[in-house]
Amino acid sequence: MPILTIKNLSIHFYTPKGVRKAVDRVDLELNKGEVVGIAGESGSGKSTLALGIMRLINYPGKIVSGEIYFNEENILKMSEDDFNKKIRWKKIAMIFQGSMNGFTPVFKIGDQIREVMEIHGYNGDYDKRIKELLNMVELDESVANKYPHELSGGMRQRAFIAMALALNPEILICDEPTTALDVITQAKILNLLKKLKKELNLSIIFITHDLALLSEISDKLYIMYAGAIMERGDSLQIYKNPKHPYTQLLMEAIADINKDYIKGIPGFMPDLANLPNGCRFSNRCPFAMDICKKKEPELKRLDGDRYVSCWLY
Amino acid sequence: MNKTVSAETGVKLYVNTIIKNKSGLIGVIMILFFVALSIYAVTNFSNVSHQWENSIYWETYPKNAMPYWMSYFNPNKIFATEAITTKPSIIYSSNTYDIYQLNYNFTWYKEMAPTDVVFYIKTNSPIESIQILWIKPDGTNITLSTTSPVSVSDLITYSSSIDSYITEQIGYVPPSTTSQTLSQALFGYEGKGLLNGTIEKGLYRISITIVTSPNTKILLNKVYLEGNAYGLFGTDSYGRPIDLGILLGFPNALEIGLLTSIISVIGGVIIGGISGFLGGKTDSAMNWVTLVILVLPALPFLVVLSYIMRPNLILEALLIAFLSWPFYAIIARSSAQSIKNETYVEADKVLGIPSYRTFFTHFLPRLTPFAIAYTALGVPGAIILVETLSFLGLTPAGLVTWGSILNSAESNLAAVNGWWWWILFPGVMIILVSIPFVMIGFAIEKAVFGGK
Amino acid sequence: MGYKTYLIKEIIIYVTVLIAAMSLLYILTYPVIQEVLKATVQTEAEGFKQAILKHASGHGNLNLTSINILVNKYKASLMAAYGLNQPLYLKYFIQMKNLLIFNFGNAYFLTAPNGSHKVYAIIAAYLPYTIILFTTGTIIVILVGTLLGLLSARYAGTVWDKLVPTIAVVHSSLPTWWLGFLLIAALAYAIKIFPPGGITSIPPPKSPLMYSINMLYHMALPLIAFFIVNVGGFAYVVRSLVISTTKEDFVMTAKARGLSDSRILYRHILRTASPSISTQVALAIAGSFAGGLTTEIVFNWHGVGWLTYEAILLNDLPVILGINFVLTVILLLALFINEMIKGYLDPRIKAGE
Repeated sequence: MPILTIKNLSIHFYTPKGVRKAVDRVDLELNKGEVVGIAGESGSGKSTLALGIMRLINYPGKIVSGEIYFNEENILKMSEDDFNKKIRWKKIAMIFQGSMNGFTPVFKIGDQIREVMEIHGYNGDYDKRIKELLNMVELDESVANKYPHELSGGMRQRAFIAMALALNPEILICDEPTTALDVITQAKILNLLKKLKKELNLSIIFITHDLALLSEISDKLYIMYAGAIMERGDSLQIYKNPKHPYTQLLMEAIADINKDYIKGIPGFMPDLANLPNGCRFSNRCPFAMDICKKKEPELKRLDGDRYVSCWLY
Repeated sequence: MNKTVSAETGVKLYVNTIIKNKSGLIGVIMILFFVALSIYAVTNFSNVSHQWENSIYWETYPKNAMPYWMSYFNPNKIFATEAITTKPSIIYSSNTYDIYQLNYNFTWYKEMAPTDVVFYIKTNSPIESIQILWIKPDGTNITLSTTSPVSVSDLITYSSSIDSYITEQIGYVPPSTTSQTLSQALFGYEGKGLLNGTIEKGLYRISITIVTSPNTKILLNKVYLEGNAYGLFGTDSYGRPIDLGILLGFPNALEIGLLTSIISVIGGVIIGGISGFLGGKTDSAMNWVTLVILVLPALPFLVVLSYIMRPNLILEALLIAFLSWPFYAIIARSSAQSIKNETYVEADKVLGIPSYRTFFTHFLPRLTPFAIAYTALGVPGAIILVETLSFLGLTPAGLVTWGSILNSAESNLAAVNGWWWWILFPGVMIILVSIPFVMIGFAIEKAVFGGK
Repeated sequence: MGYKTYLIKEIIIYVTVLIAAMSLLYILTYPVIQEVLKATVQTEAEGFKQAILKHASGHGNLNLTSINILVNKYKASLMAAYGLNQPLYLKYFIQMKNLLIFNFGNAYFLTAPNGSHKVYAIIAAYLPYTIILFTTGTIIVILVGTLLGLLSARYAGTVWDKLVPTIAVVHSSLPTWWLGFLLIAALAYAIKIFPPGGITSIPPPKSPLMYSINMLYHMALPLIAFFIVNVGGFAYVVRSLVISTTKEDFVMTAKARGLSDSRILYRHILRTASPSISTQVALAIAGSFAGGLTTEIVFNWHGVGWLTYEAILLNDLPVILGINFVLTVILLLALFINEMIKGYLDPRIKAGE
């Protein structure tokens, strides 16, 4: 039984230009101790999906359908108060692309970690736990007495991860946690996450546009495009043998030191408020057929864990 | 993408936003209406504004009259001025003098005597003597005469005659005589109760005998039974109609409000923009200058300068602008700083594009909507400051402003006497003329800053 | 750069700003007022001459030459008293030096209630009333305005949200003195609820308690006018500050951490926005003293605003300069205190960024 199951989740934004289907009928499964990677271009709805799991969708956005089960309990059915008390941060924590700016600027790091533990009723010695957490993310204990602006971006990101782990959550959602950092810091954070996963048996949803990065950490891979899942399956298998034309193009777009140029994907992602009939990738797909423009393909199971949404299969 | 083009369409976008925004559209319509009123005032009443301080010009108007529409609530006690006229007849003519007689009849059915009676006889040479026989409906009469005959005379002119009449009737000298008491004496029943407020109703007859030099012609003659209600907004203690004063105040308010706001915003945006754009030492120096002006106690300072300089409208606008630009400079500076950090500005630097070009292609277009918003928002403040100075008696010469109307309301004790129309309407105008600018300013502000 | 160096630098800036502002005031006003004073001296000397001539005609022991000498002496003493016989640059330096050591000299015409001609005594007699009235008013405005601003920012899209911009329009378009004038007509004369003006009844009550109550009663109308005009503006500023802070990243992550909305608003957002709000408070309090001039005139409230106006009407330059100096010092002081409070509220400033 997966620890997190998402079924048929749709999140729409009601904008003056029309209804933007940011997340369109998405299914996802996350098993204990597993890293699920979600990859896609910016604007593909992957961040919205993460915020949806945390129930942080703000007006004019709305979760219009679907279920999210955490250990068999539908967290979308819980009251806001209940969710705040039982799930948010306690069971599912999240680190953001902007986590280095995620600390309130006027409070000390330690006090902010303490605040989280206080409001969630952590049992135990707060000071000891804060030190333990900072050690865990390889930060000096003195960081607790510092203000956010006194730390570098990478240190703040680590401190934020420490805060995310404060209550021993079972799931950690990482939304582009390393994008704003330099390459060396990026690698350090990634190694840290790997280590934590192993030590704490964390289940991680890792969201990024950087497929190369995902190959380092993820067990399962979901490829998202224009709000929908295009392909999903075992990471290694997808890397070795991408099925969906979009996945194939994404793979080719990865910067490789052996190639002398980077291949982009021609064309633009369709307007989420005005999706085309048929397959949403059809306007950019080199293999597009007549049917692709008329009928939308379903996410078909190929074998085992491997699904793809394409008329070629 | 070409930034200059996008900035142009940007301005168009803001115009669209103002008009699409409901309150913005209402604001635009209101301003157009005010501008129309101003043009109407300038084209039709510019001569009246020169007469505003000339009390003789307003002699025949009722004094302290409340708005005419108030008579709807109590027509027998609140009424407008009635004017009656007659055909003069010459009753004696010689080579030394002429005698004219003017007979007027009118019926009076109101519960209250007129607030005053004004006799207006315009001749082509001076009147030598004037005598008025006032006959009440019951036949009792009173003769009014004066030693100094003038062409426009109110009851105060004849107060000695009327005073002795009152003393004769009630048995003692009245403690004070106002136009209202004198008028009551002409309209009350003879006897002890002359001044008790009861009015004789019916047909009144007035017979005016004037002696003039030979060959004098009577050009115009009128008797005004002054009411206590006049026009849309009433009149003041000099008889000046408030509605007319308000109309005359429109062009000044709009002119100085817009002028001041435009000068101070343009000044502030340029100074603040350059300061934030250049940074470094220039920025510190300009910031210091901004602070010097900012810490001056604006209102006392302005009052001092207006008092000793007695500025005209343009100079006053410049003075106010001189004290208000720092507010816009501060905001423009911080906007400029944030624009400076945006990538395309840095890209320009990398590409070696000269900084003055970057200033014109990236800064000014970005600061334009900001400037428009603050120009609109700055107008009310400027108008209020000018009206405030006027209220303190510092009106630019020859202008009628709402503040100056309120100034005379204060010095004539309008609050004590309950002449609320004199206080209420000019102030409401200050608010009314400000509101559309605030509405437009907020609409642009929302479009520019709120849309992020 | 440490916090201390930062503060010292601020002080230096403020002192130079003060001198520059006063110089500006002096240069712009003095030449004109000098002309007025010269005319005053001329008329006074003429009056003096006439008086002597009248006197002399009775005695006959004074000839015209000795009278002229007397008149010229008198004139010279007046010129000296008004400082008209020194070159302008010298007077400027003396004036600036005297201002900086708070020596404002003697008033030409005005006196303090205790009869003193010293400008500082006159200002000291009137300033407390301005401070009492406008500090009280501003504190009420700040408390209610902050509350309204927070409610408006928190309940976006509701009545609260619409209310604040609407009353902000009132703030931008309504002159306080006019509202005061109207309130006096309505609530002091038409319906006699409040006194029409003044600081206390005449004669003022003897016991301190009754005196304070009487003064509060006289403060009611000006406070109501001040409150109505200013509360919307302050609420709007707080609302804008809070809304712009709400857009920052830390608010989303705070929500993700499971903090309640009210905790995020009152603890995190308000605390983060507080340095900016503090600046607004400093400017509002210090600004209200100078801006209250017309309010004081309308309500016959004998504070420095009212005094300024009297001094202007009398061309009493030392008093005008003195008041402007004091008001500028108050504003700079408020800004300086604000810098220190901000340093305390915002750790980023303390670091000297």
